[in-house]
Amino acid sequence: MTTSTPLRPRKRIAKGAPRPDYLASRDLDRTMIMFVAMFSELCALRDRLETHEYLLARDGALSPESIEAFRPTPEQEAERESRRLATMRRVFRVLREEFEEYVEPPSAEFGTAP
Amino acid sequence: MKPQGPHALLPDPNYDEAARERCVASLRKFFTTELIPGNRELYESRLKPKFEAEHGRPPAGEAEVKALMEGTFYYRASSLIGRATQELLWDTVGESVERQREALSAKARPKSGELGSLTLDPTLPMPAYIQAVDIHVMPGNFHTDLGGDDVLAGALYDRGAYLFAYGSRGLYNDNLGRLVTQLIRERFPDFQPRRILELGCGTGASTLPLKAAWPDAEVYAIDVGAPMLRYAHGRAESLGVPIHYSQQDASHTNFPDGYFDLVLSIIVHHEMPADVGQRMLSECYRLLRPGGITVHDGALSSGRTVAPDPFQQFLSAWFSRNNNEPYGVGFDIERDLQAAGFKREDLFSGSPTGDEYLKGHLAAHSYVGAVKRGP
Repeated sequence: MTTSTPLRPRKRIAKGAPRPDYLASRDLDRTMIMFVAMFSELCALRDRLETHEYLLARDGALSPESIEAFRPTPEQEAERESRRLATMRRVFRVLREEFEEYVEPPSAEFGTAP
Repeated sequence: MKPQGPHALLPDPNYDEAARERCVASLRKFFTTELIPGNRELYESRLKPKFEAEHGRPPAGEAEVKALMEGTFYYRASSLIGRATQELLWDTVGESVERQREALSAKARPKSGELGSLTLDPTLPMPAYIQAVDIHVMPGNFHTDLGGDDVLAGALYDRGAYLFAYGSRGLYNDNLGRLVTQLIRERFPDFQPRRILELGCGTGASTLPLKAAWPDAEVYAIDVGAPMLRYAHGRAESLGVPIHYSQQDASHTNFPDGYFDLVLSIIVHHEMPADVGQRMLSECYRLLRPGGITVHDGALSSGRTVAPDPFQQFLSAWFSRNNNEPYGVGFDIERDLQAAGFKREDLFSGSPTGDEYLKGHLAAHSYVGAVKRGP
């Protein structure tokens, strides 16, 4: 009979020399440039998904040709554009923090993070 | 964003290219209509009152405003998003245009029986300032010729400018051209130019409205960039508008003295160093017949770029600092027109409404012009 001891959680940090420092300040700027490009890819992917949904509802089937030929009508594009702008407001929300902080500074009652 | 006005040279993006283009146009709209105005909101509601409480006075000059704004994450991050969007815009359009470049070049090639003409000058020395900086962060600037019958710079700018404005400058990017003709017709109702010249015409977006406004006039347009002119020529032909394009430097053209009734430039002067801008205005004076009119866009209704309040001064330099437009501040067209030979009492200016001002920090687009006094 073996004694079972509870399994410990797996290790998630590897032992060894400290992680090298990678990014310098210009690298942070470049990273944001990659981020904005990636964000555009995300929007384009969502655009394609919306087109898939629309074509499926319209034709009951999808084909590479019908996707390639599709262009949103001005009304559809206006809807898609407002969804994209709403997404941007969510993704870039952190920019607005400084607008809020000055209104209500963090109360001492809630203390600082442990 | 409405679909751009069609013509034979307009690049035809595939589905994914078109989707990315719509995204980058939305990013531009977000930056222009939400992020840029947020700077003023943050300054007026937070930074300025705090500064006033500490110093007993408002920030006194551009340097103090700059220090306050650069101390915020908002200004730093929104500026970086604006810059990233600008780079992404050209890269997104560039991929699509490069894929189609041979077909576009073939469509642009001059054919017999055309309405207008195209005259290129491969010996034209390219001005140093054109080679020194890619204006608007557009790789290759307005002039780079990639060989053969290259039209890439023209296609890139036509499509890119439309996305930059998220369609707000007209289906043919022609709002500014239409507004300038409106202004001239309002101020000078009897003016009927027989020969018109546009300097720094680019894709011809502002040239075509000139012919529409004065159909009996011969319209000429020049630019330093051959790919731009090949594109502009093909574009105008496909839209059925006769324009005579030639490759020339606006500060020194080959037209005779007094050849034109109207000489103008639209969103060109602010991309030139001050001395080149001055030479262009002097060339306008030479090219006009007595009684002829010249007109150029100026940043403020006074024709100056120095704004009255320090916050505006700071933001008006944003595009200069972040968008490779190093010559966009510090000029005064009214002063420079007088140095070119025009008389103070013959100057005029106007700010026609109807265009979305895309730099988000100043009053509406304005024009400054002058009538050449008779002998």
